[in-house]
Amino acid sequence: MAFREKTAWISLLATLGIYGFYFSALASARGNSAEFFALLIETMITFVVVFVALTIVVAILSPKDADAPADEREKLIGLKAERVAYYAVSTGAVAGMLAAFCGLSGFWIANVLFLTLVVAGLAKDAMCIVLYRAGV
Amino acid sequence: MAVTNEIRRLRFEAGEMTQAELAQRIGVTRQTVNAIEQGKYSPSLEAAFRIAHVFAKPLEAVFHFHSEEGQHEKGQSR
Repeated sequence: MAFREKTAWISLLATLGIYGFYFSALASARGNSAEFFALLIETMITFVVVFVALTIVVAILSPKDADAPADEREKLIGLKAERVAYYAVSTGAVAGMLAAFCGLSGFWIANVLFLTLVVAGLAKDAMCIVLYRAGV
Repeated sequence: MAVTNEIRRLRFEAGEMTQAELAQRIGVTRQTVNAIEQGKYSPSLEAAFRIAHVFAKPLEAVFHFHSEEGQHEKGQSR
């Protein structure tokens, strides 16, 4: 498995696990906006720590692959995956605008935008994995 | 698939050259050489020429294009 496919798996699973926890807490609506802001910061820091730590472990296990720059196929996969993420971000931006026009609070607009970034990240990781496995 | 190739055979004829060795010589990862061999990725023209150069073969001896009608295009003008 290519190093960049492994990092896509790490990102996908960490996103599902860590940010999934945040949004499940949000869905249960226990706590006020200040508490959710603190939880949001905590989950973001946890995600970065987990992602970096697991990526370092994978890089230590296959240092040659980790050092190699992305080749033409990997760059193409990255570009195609980012295009999918762009569609997700565009859709989420419209959802955020609609939330603002509908008079939702800043708290909910912020969460719509955060969800947008998370979904875009998931879409990018998933597309990367599909393209690595099925072909470009 | 529209483009097939003879890389696996050519590697065998080149003394069982490994995918990793070919990858290193053309400047891509081993996984990309594997994807090319399996028809999961059609390389850029530059990479295709590099592969042909490694085996000292013309491009059309390494890669074959199959049109949608199923005709085999050998690459030379008729």
